[in-house]
Amino acid sequence: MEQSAAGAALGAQAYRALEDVMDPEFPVSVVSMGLIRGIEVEDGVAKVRLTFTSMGCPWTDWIERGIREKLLGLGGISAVDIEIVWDKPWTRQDLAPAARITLKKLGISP
Amino acid sequence: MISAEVLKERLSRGELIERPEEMTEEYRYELKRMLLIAGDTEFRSVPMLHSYLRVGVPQRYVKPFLAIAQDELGHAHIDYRILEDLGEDVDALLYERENSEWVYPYFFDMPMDNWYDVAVGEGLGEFAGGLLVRNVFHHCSYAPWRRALAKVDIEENFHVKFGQTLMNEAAQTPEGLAGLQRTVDWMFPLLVEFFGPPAKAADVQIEYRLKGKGTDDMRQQYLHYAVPYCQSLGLKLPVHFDEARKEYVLGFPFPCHFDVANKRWDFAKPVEWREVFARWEKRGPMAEEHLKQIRRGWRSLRAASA
Repeated sequence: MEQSAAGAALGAQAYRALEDVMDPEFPVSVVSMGLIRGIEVEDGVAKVRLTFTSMGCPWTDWIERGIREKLLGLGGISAVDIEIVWDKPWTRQDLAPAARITLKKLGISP
Repeated sequence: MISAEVLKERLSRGELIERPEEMTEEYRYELKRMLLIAGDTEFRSVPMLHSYLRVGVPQRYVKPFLAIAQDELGHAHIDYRILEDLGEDVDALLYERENSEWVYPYFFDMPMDNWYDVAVGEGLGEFAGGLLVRNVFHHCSYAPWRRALAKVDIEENFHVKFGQTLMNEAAQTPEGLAGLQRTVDWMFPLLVEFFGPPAKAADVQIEYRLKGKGTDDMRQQYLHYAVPYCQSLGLKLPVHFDEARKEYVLGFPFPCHFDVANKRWDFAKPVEWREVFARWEKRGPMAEEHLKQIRRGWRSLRAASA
């Protein structure tokens, strides 16, 4: 389905908004951690494709709740549909360059 | 070994200490004492976290609690690893000391009887522990420790947020709020006591910049967090803010008698600090079981690797 111009604009806005949702364990956003694999908004529904750094991640509920709360706070989004994806699995290569620097400063090998 | 004058002069210029050769005996003694308290506090929180699982932690919180326990063990490892560099035998510290020789908060030894004890333990207890970390992280003159605490600090901050989530959720119903209040009634004075007796006029650990604040400042910092937060949930604490002094004032004699078996404070019965120290040294109801648990794990690990 082709996205409308309004939907595309809202999707971009939603993606930027997720820069404020922080990973629970590190001062890096879920976007910079590379957890957001895609986001589309159509008819007020935000469809988020989300992954985690591991299948045993203890904070999955926490991260999903943070994403939902943030997106539902944006005008124009009335529902959030999160799909957990594992293909392809998260690796360190998914980290944004700035996130690598932050983690390195904390003594964590990115 | 350098002289105390040279060391204090260096510290007054804001310099950091990198190697044991740059310390005086006194500096080394105080640093090791603080590392032991920090390491013991992280390490002995783990049996308490493990005990939470007995009170019926909701399934969605089991993995988070295991992750927090793993964090705390990682933090303890940092503190003990530095102690090892300073000549301590860490295996002996962990597995051969008796309970009276450990130095960690008394409330870790209390039985956690219900979900409200768990929620408040995390929401209010973690903040107290985090303050100890921050007092070193922002001020400590021993560079290897200070560098290592960057990761510890952010993890402790997150544990507090997690604990707040548990308390916030519990406070949504009148029954939950009453449960939290029952826990706060016994746990809050223990957390106030956690920071120790009133500050001494001269504190050598502050003089050596091993930490930044004394016990009274730490206690006030704690109250500035805990009181408004608890009040925002509708919880009542025996404390009020003195506008003239710009500080919190306890509404009970400090210290006072604690009936350990019944988890009740007797505010009509002030005690001397030596009585508190005696209680701490005797350790609390769960201490023996927790120590056995630690030693059991050690023995089975050794047997498996023999």
